[in-house]
Amino acid sequence: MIHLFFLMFSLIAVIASWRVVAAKHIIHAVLWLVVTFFSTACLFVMLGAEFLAAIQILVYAGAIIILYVFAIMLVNVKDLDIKAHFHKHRRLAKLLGLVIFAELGLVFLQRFTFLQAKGPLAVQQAEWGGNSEVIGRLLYTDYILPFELASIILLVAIIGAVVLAITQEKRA
Amino acid sequence: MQYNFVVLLGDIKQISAEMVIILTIVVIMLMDILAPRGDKTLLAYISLGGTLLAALVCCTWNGVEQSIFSGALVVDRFAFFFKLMLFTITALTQLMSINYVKLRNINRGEFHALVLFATLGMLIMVSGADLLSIYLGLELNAIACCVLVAFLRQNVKSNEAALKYFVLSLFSSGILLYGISLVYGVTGEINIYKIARYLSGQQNVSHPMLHLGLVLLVVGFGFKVAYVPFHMWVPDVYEGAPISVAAFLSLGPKAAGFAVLVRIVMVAVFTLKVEWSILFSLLAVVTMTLGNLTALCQENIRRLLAYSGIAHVGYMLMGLVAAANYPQLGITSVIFYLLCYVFFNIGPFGIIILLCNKHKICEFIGDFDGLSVRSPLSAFVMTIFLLSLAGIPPMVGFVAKFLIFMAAMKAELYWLVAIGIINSAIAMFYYLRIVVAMYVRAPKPGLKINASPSLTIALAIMVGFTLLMGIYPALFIGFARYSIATLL
Repeated sequence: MIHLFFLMFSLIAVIASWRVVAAKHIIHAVLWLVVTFFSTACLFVMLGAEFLAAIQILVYAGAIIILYVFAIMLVNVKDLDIKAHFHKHRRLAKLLGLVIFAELGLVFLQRFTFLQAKGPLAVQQAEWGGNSEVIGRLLYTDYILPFELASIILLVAIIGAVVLAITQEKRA
Repeated sequence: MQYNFVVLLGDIKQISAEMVIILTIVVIMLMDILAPRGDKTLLAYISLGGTLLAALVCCTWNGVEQSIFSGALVVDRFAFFFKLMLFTITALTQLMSINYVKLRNINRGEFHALVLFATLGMLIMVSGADLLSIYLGLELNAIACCVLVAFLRQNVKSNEAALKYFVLSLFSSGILLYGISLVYGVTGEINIYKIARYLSGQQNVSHPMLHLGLVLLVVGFGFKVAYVPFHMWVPDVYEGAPISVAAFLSLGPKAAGFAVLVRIVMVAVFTLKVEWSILFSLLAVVTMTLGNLTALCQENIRRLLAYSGIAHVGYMLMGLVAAANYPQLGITSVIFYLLCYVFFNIGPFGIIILLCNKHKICEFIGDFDGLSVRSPLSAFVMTIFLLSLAGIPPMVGFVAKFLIFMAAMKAELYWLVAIGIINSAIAMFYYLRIVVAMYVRAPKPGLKINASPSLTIALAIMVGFTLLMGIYPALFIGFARYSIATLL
């Protein structure tokens, strides 16, 4: 039963993300992206990571998608003929994509065995009683460095955006 | 082990060099706001001072090798070697930038802060012991570099280069993450040393998913290190970016990427050495040959340096292939090559900055015509760099190449050595072409030298080290050998 659900949600995710790339209209692509995020969130729930699933929906399907829609609204997309630019390499891209997809399929079909042992997170989750508690504790202990690094990356992104967007003062 | 405040403080003490860099960034950003209209040259000196201080702090490392932050980072000799190298690269870039940013009207506090951010990312990469912190360091570096490339906002080429760099680095991050997730899926670990331990305990490590993960990791880092076929962004970025940033990019990310690659292939998946040595030998052949052949027909010196840089990565990969059978010799040759490459590859960029003024950038080979008449000294310095790049005997470039070829010979990779030697011969042509332009052709009117004290110091350091390493390479080879002793 659980395998059936897993297959269903992952199939939805794969198909939706294919539609994101293949969509002719950019708004459609964004909407398909929402579907991808939702099915990924469902996969997280099935893995017992409820907190991650909630964050996935709140942050990605919520905030980030809104940001995308705003960006599309502000940039007049109709002027861009996206298809014309990529038409030249379309055949080659399709062929290479198929080859890589076939390779991935072969690899995954060959030995469909994943690790059976539960990860350290699941063990500690049982100990500390809760999803977000474990994440909170781990973020401030074992993963303190990656956590702080992520905040530095966000700082760089903000500084970078300001640098690129700010109007340069004119000098003689 | 229970992670508490005392342990945390101890770990922070181990990364005090990185902390110095972060503090310098904070000081720069604050002073940038406090003096909004003033001259930003002071900030450039502060950032340079911060780098030197961090290098000094790094040198006080007591030699104890340990993993910190629950295995996220490791302090060892290998990381120490690369950290010193990165501080050198950053300091040289900053020295070269001081006058250049004024010239191009991009003398802003953010420029100096972003250079330090990029350095910070690379420092994390070289001492990263798990794939998560390595990835975060890489991303920090990529974002900072991308903004630096786009700094000439009025320049179309700079914008184009930044967009290419941004899209490709995103794409490569995606591939890298997929590779990491596959490796994690097979081994259940993201820590490099734990992956190694898991794999050495397995009977049969030949798992197709692990192979795929390794290939994807190699592809992901390929964009950073820039081997063929993941080199597409290099020429455009070198051509469009501010020159000092191009010099920074031509070495920093390459060195950091190589450090990570060495750590991954030599420690984490050394058990798969047959597989990755085949992969790298193919990449080495394609990279050397394509890089050199394309460099032959370049008129723009920056593009030429880009393709020659790609070819040099090919030689270094050869050392990595040799390391599958002779780890000590192979890795020593690779990191010694990187070390001397620092000095003679940033050098030509310095000369290009020397020749540019407010109105014109001398970046074509034709612009170098008759430089020896206008300024014999700078022509001579450029010749030293070019001869080192070409690998002509008294220069350090020869020693570095010789070490690589020797390692490959010992590993019985005769076909690879043959291709490498043919490629070195081809490379001779395009380096000497610039020398001929400088010494034989008649000088063009309007060629002026725009020397500033800081740039002169940077060039003097680079020439000094290029000559010193050529005369007495044993000292530096010894340092390289010392630094990998505990890694393998």
